[in-house]
Amino acid sequence: MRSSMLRILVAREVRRLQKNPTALMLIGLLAAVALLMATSQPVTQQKAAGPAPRFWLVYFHRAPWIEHVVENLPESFEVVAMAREDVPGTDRHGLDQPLAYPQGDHAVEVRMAPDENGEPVIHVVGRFSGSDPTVLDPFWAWFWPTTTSAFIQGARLEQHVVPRRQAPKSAAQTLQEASVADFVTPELIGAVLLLIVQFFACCHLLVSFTSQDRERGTLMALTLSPATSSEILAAKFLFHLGLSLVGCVAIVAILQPAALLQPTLWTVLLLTSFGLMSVGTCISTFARTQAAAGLLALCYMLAGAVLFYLSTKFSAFGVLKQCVFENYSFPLLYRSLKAPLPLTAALTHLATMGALVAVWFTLARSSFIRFGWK
Amino acid sequence: MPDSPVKTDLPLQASQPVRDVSPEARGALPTSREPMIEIEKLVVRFGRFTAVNELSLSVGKGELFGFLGPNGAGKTTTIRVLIGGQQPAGGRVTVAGYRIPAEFARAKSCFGYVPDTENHMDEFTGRENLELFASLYEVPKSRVDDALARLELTEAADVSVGAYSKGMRRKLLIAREILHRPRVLYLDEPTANLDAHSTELVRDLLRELAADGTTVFLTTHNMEEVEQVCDRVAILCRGELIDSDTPTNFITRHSRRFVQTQYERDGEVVRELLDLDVAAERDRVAELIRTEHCVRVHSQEFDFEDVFLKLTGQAFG
Repeated sequence: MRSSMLRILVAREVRRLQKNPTALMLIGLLAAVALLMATSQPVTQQKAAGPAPRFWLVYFHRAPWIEHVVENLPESFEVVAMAREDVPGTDRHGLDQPLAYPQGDHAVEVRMAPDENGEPVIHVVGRFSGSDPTVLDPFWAWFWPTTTSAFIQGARLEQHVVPRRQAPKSAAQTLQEASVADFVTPELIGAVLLLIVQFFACCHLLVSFTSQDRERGTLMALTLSPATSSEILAAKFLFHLGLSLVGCVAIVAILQPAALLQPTLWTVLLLTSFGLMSVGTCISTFARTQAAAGLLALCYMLAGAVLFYLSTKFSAFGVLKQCVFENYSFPLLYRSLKAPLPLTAALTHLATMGALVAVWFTLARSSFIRFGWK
Repeated sequence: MPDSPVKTDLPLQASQPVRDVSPEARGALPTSREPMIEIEKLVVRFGRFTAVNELSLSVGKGELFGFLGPNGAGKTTTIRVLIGGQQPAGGRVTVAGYRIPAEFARAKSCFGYVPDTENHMDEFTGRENLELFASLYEVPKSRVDDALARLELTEAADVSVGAYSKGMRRKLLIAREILHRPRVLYLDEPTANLDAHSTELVRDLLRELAADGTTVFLTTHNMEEVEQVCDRVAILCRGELIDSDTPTNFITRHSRRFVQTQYERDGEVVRELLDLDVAAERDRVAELIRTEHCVRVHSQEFDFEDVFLKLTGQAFG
């Protein structure tokens, strides 16, 4: 394999790409998506419409001002007021049992406790659901004006705002209430973007350019030149690998720059790129026209998606999934982006992936040399 | 060319039998030229169909060799074998001393191939296309300018090939394949889509190449081109070699002499076609000239196209 030949052939690919800039649009688009993700705030997800949150007002002692408050509950939102001893289950669990309020509701507890001098202090403890204490603001906006006029003069009031204890949720309830947004993390999106870039640069674009070369006869012209078929194929691999890595590095640098220092990430990127280029070479060798080749590449991608779905339903497809190198790419990319993943920890997966890629590469090389230009 | 409204009426039976030689001898080099292309009993099959059946011929160094045949005769298949693009089912092929396809990798830098359909990188300019191949063949870039000038493409050199006409694309193809000064040049319909001037330009180029020692192996359907350009011609039909000789010898050996006469008798126009090689009809010509009011008497000689039609028609019969 002569480096001079490789240089000339890679330069030809680069020049062709320069004259077809639309081919780069998708990679640019994906990098822009990554940039937007990295520079914008996550949107608070709107949960499915349900009942408006309730406020619980639980008072631990009785007093005229509390009765006044209870008699003047607001109309714009629901407040359920009850004495501590009236809370359901108190008979069984006792007054000291901490209270767990229904999911999504907020609570305000009014307690009386003496301070260090023995003076009674009324503690108003607001317990809010979620992470935003301002959800209690409507309650306070009603509560304080209503209680001001009924306060015993000289009484001291202290407001405490704490996140409330929530009743434990079952796993089923968690899953039911979760939305896709709960699982969509930057690492997941990053892994998906990386796979898309690699598929585009290593499979789709290679298929498109190679079958175009064959269709118009330029592949034959190159094969009849002093360049060998191996050199022609090597130049294509070098070019598409370079393009894929540029796109992947851009995305990783935007989303998780620290991951660029991980050997595991680079290994997975290289193996996945090689595998996809080999698949693309096989497709473009056996498909007679550019249109057929493009369609085959798309079918390959869809077949992979169907296989992955069916593997969750039927065991036979699960076995088949183990024979597909992309099965290892996605989780390894995800884990590499999420946290540093030592090579030793991923060795088994990488070895399996390498073996599968080697099979594809052998098939691609032999078929291209035998049939590629004919 | 004489006006020949009755060209198709010419009898195609041979007045002399086709030279009775063995198939191998038909394609043999008649001179002591060093053989550059040697094909021995080449067989190419596509399934059960035999496209080339025991073809044997030799082409010498510096020879301008024409390879003719009707559509489907096996010409392109033979060229594909020569350039390593088709695996033969039998026989032996040697180009510039290299066996094909076994030594194809070493042989390919010795030949150039101009296919019937242009295979350029359309998004590149003409110059860029040539420079790429100049780099691959490791020839000086100055040859690019020379080739462009020779094919009169200098003005369009920096225009994208996608904008070229068919004729310009064909000329660019020829320019590309002569960059490395090949020892053998295969051309499939080299002057197709070319205007008269460009056609003559290409023919001159081929003559120059042959004079410089390049073996030119071309297929064409242009009989005039064969007569004007080729040193020797082989005619293929149904995968078999019919005959091989110089165009002049072909005409000499297969030609027949006819005279077409036209005269008036009793208000009607009468036409007679008479064979000068038949004594009685020769006398008839003299009689007609003497006794009738002939308005047309002209001879018709076989040209190469007639020979071709005769030989290939005979083969189909």
